[in-house]
Amino acid sequence: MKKSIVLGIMFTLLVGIFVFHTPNESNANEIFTHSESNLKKVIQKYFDMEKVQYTLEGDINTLNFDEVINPKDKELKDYLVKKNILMQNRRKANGNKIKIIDRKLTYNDIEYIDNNAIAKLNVTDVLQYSNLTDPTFISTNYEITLEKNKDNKYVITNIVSDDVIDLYIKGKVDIDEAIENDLKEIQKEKEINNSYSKDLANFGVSEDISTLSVNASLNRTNMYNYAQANWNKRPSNWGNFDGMGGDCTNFISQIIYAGGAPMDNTGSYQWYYYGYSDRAPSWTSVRFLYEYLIGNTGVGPQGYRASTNDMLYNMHRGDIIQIDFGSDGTYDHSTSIVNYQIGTLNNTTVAAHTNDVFNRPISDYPGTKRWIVLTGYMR
Amino acid sequence: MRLKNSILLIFLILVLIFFAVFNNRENISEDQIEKITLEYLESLKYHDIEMHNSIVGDNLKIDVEKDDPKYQTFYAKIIDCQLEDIDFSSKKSENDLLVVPITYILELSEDFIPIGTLEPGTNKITELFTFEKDADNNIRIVKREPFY
Repeated sequence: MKKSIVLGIMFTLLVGIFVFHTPNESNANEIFTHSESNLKKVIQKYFDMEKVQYTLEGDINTLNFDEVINPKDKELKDYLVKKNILMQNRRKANGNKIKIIDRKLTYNDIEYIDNNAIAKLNVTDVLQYSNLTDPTFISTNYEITLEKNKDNKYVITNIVSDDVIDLYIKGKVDIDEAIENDLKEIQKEKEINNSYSKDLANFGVSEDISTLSVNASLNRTNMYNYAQANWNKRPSNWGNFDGMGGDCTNFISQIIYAGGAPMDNTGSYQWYYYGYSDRAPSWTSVRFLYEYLIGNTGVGPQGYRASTNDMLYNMHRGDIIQIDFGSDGTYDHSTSIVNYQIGTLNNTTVAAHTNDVFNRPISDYPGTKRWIVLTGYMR
Repeated sequence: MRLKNSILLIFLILVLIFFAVFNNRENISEDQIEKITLEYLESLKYHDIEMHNSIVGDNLKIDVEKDDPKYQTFYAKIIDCQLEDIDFSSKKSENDLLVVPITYILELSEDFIPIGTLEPGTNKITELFTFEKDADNNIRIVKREPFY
């Protein structure tokens, strides 16, 4: 009798352990079930919340990502809220009201690792800024990591994207410092806008370019058309430098070339592309393109750094704006002007690669900017 | 009595097997992270593709044939890669994944043609690395960001 009682207790214990044991979440032998539709719903919800930064509806400071972000990931939530503050500061200062005309989420891949999932997707937004006539296009690639929590619900644990803020600020620059520095930049831009005078606009102010030796004008329409046709493409004849430094300056060089400027493979300043391994530094490097344009006096495109007056009265489609996101003296990004309006910096819009945009207001980008006037080229 | 002891013994063995099977996985330690990071940077420095591909996830693997332009344009130009800092104070751990910022010095050869902000010579790079422990307790690097 005793034996059977002992046996019974042991058997019950053993069964109990196997049945009621909640295995470690990283349990190798557990079969994890996933629901793609639930996962996509959470991602959709995140992007619905993130819309606040565009529409300015609701208070960013009370933005609550709790429903979609893992409550343990306080840092991620803090970063997302601060990233939104950085963007909203600019949009509020410029008085831009933005309407999302279309937002398309395209899933490229979903990888499942135990109870985690990594979703790779592209988000293409078509936006209408209240101060612009034409729509703005922004294409951003995301890698979103999700985890299934104890309640069997997906929560986001990490967001990686090629959005410029994520690329140049996240993990590189203290975001609080970036917000503080950018408020100063916003103030500077405001002062430039306030210095606009109609008289000067009618008179026509520009730098003395008599010392520059151009003998041909760039075809600005061709530059615009090229930017419009290729803002989210990587034409195979020009390579693709994403993942090894970025494709931004390569794209700007293509636009200048589309404007008619010949390649320049002689002298101390050069600008050419014949292939991945046979190209001038200025074709793909932010710093070297700037140095080339302002230093070149021979064959090829030429330019100079714009003064405040130039910025207000004398820019054209195809001219260049470079951005130092961290305001640390290193310019990180190159963009090409696609629309320009005399008298305000706010309505100047650009095209760029990494991340890919067309007709995005330059005033949307945080950081210090240098504007470059292209004077033409020498044959 | 003998039967009782045998049953007890079997019971204990079963319990041991249970814990061995279900609880044999440890968290990723800082030492392991440092070791893998050093191996990774060494694989870049010596262009050791086999070593590189053995410690990264499928998405980061280098295919010399397929990625030829990328390999020749960038990876082949790396002449040194030194670890500067692993910021364990900012590490974030989730199940089998661990994310930590790593700063390293990437030295590119004189014939590297500048791209973006990368230039020949010394480049200081800070990236968030994501490490994953697989079912066999092997640790791999599955993500690096931002890398543009």
